[in-house]
Amino acid sequence: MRRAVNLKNIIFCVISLFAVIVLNFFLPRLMPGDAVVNLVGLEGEYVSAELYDYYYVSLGLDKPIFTQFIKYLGDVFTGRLGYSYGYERTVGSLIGERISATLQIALPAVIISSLLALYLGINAGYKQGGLLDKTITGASLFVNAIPSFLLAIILILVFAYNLGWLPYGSLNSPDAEVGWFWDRLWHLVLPITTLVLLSFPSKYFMARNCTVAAIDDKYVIYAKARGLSNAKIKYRHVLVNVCQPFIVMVGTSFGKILSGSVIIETVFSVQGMGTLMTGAIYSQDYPVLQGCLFVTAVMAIIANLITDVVCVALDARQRLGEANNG
Amino acid sequence: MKKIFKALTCVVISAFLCCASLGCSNKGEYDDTLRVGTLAKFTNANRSEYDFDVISGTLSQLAPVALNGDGSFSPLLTDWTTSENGLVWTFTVRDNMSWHDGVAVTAEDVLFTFNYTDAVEGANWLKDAVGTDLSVTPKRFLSAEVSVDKRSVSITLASPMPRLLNGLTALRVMPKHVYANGAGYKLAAEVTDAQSRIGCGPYAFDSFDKNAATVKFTHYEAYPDYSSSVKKVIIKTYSEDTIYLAMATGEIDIIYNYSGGVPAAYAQYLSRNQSLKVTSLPSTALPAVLGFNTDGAANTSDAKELVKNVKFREAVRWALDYDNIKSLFGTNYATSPNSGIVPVGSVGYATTQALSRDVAKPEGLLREMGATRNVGDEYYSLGGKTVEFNVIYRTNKAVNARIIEVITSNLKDVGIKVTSTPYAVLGDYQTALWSRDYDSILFGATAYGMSGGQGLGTTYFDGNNSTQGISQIKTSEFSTIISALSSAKNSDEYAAAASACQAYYASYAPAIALYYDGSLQVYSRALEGFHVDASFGLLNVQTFKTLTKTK
Repeated sequence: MRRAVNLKNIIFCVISLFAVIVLNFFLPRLMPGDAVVNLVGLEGEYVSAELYDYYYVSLGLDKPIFTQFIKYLGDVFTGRLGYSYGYERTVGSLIGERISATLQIALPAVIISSLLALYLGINAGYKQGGLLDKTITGASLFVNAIPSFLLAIILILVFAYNLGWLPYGSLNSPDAEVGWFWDRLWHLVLPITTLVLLSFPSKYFMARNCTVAAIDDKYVIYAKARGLSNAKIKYRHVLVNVCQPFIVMVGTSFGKILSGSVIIETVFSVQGMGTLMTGAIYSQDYPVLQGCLFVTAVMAIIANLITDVVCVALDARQRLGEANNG
Repeated sequence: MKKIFKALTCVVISAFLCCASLGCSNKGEYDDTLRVGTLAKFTNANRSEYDFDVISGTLSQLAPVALNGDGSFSPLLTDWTTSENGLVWTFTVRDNMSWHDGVAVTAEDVLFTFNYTDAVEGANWLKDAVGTDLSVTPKRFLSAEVSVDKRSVSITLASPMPRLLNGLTALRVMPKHVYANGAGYKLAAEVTDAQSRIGCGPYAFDSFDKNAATVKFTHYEAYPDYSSSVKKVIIKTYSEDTIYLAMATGEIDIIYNYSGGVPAAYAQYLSRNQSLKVTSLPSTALPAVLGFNTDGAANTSDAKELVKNVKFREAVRWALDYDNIKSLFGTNYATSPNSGIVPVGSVGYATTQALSRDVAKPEGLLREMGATRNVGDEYYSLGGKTVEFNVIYRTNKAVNARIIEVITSNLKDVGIKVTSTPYAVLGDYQTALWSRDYDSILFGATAYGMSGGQGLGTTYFDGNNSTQGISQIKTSEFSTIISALSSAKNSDEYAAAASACQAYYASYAPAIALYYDGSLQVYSRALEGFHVDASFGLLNVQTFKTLTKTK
C-alpha cells in the first residue's frame, strides 16, 4: 500500500517537474512585450532590426511552437538550460559554477537549523510553560519578525565590526592556501548562522507544537506509567511521532532556504545562485532567471522525494503496513 | 538525540573558536599591499568584463593621456605635440614602456588600437562609422602614420579638434601582438583570459579569486618612473552593507567607486575615525538637473507652450530655493549653482550669474506672459488653464522623489503647479525620453556625460543628440555655438565658444542645475601621494606611481 503512495508521489513529482518546464518555456513567450527582448534580456530599444532578426532566428522563434518546445526540452535534459546573451554563456554552465557556493551555505543551514529546532522544540514542548519553552519561544517569535537582510547586518555588526571575530563576507581570504578548510569555515559561519536563525523559528514551532499535542496522547501517559525516563519518552516515543510532520516541513522549507540565499549572498558578497538571480533581475536576463527557477524547483522536488523516503523509513506503522500488504 | 545534539554543539563551538582564532591571526599588517574595497562585482577577470576593465584602467591598462582634476592633461603612455594649425598631432610613446609580457610598446600599438576600435567597436577614428540605422558618423582622422623608429604616430585631422585629448583619456591602448590576426583582428572571445589581461601600466594582473571576491595586481618591475612603496594591490568586493564597516575597522585602505564617491551620510560617520581621512574632490558632474523640453515638437501635454517659453523657465529658476536644496541633498562641500549650468573645473568653464531664490521675480515674469492669479487662488492661470507642468524622473535614486517634493513646494509658493511621473523601469524611462513627449526631466549628469559631445553638457541639451538631448535645444544660435565649439582650432578659441555657450544657457534657461557637489573620498591616513584624475578620481595610474603606505 505504501509503495503505491510512494509511486503516486513520484508521479506527482514528475508532473510538477513537467509543469515547471512548461511554465518556464511559456512564461517569457506570454509575458507582455516582445519574446525576443524577453529572452535576450536586453532593452528593446537597443535592439536594431538586424540584430532582432539575428536573435529571432537564433532563438528558434521562426520555428513552430512545438519544435521550439522540443528544442527547449533538449536544452533542459542536456543541462544547457538556454543561453544567456548577457554573460555570453550557457545558463547551465553559469549555474554549475555557482551552485556549490549556494549549497555550501544552504545545506549546513538546513541540517543545523533542523537538528536545533527538533531538539529544542521537543524539550520546550515536553515541558510546556517552562523556562526553556518561554525563552526559546519568545526568542523565536522575535527572530521570526526580523527581515533577513536586517538579521544579517545585525550579525555582521556584532561579530565582524564590533568583535572582529568573523569576516564581512566572501567565501575565503585572498591567498588562503594554508588552512584552506578552516578559512572557508570561518567565512561560512555568519551566512550559515543567518540562514539558520531565519529558518529556525518555523521548524521550532512545528516540533514544539507537535510535542505539546503528543504529551497528552495515551502512549506517552502509558510510557510515563511504566516509569520510563523523560529522555526515553522524548527521544524514543515522542520523537518518532513528531518526526514525520517535521521532516515533511524540512523538505518543503528547502526551497525557501534557497530563495533566502538571494539576500544572504548579496549581503555577504558570495557569488552563488542568489547573486546570479539578483543580477539577472536587474539586467532582465530572463534565460538566467528561468534556469535558476528550474534548478530551484528541481531541488525542491528532490528534497520532497527524499522527505517522503525518510518518512517511510522512520514510520514503523507504514513499514509494517507495507510488509503486511506485501 | 541528546547525544547528537551535544556532539553537534561541541563541534560547532570548537570550529567557531578555531576559525575565530585563525581569522584574528590572519589580520597581519601588509605595508606593501594596498587593500581596495569596491562595490563592483567581478564575474570574470578579462578585458571584456566591464568592472575588471574599469579597475584595470586605473593601474594596469594605459590610455595615451590622462585628464587631471584641474582640467589639464598629463602624458600617460604617450607624450604629444600639436602643429601650429592644430591639424597634426604627434603622439610619442614614453621611454622604456613595455607590455607585461615583456614586449616593447610601440606607436604601432597606438595606431592598431585606433584601427581595432574602428573595425570591432564601431568607433570613427580613421574610418566612417555606420550605425545600425545606416546613419554615418564621419571619421575624425584623415590619416595616421607611424615613424620609422616606431616610437611616434602622427595623426592628421580633417579639422582642428581641441578636445581630441579628452577623447583619448578613455582609450585603453591594446597590444598589437595579442589582438592582431594577420591583417585582421582577434575578437575578445578569440584571445585567452591571460592575453586579455596584458597591459603596460605600473601593475600587472596577478590573480582573480571568485570565492574571495578579489582581484590581485602586483608591481610590474619594468615600469619606468615608479617610486611607490605599494607592491601589491588587492581589490575586494563588498556589499553596500559591509564596505563602510570594513573601512571603519581598517580592513581596507580605500574605497573605490568609479565615477562616484562615498555617500555623504557614510562619509560623515567615517570622518570621526582618527585613522581615516575624508576629502572632497571637485566634480564636473551635476547631481541633479531640471531639464525642460524647450522644443516641444513632440510634446502632447497642455504645458507644451509653457515650458517652451523662456520667461516661464526663468520664473521657475528664480523660484527654487538653492540653499535649501544643497543643504538637504548635498554634502558639506555642496555649493549653489550658476545660471550657466556647467560646474567649476569643467574644461571651458566661464563665470555666470550665481542662482538664488527671489519669489518676486516669478510673479513679474508670469504676469508678463499674461498669467493671472486672483486673491485666494493657489496657482496662476493662463488662457483659462492652471499654470502647471510635469516632471518625469527615475526612481532608481530614492533622492529624486524627495527633490521633486522640494521643487513642487518651492514652485507652489509662487503659484506654479508641478506634477510628477516616476519611472521604475529604465526601458520605460528611455521610451519616454526618446519620444520627446515630456515637459521636463529631473536627471543627474555624469562627468563623462558632461564632457561628451562638444563638452559643457551639450550631450544633454543639444536637440540633435538622439540618445540624450533632454532639453532639445534646436535654435540657430545654439547651432552656431556648437559649430564654434567643434571647429575651435585651439584652446583659446574653444574657451571663447564655451563662454558663449554658457552665456546662452544662462539666457535661454534650457535646464537648471540644482546644486554642485564634490565627490567624497575616504582613505586611510597611512596613504600619501595621491594624484587626482578627472575620470578615475584618487585611484589612477599616476597615483600608483607615487603612492606610499606608512605604518
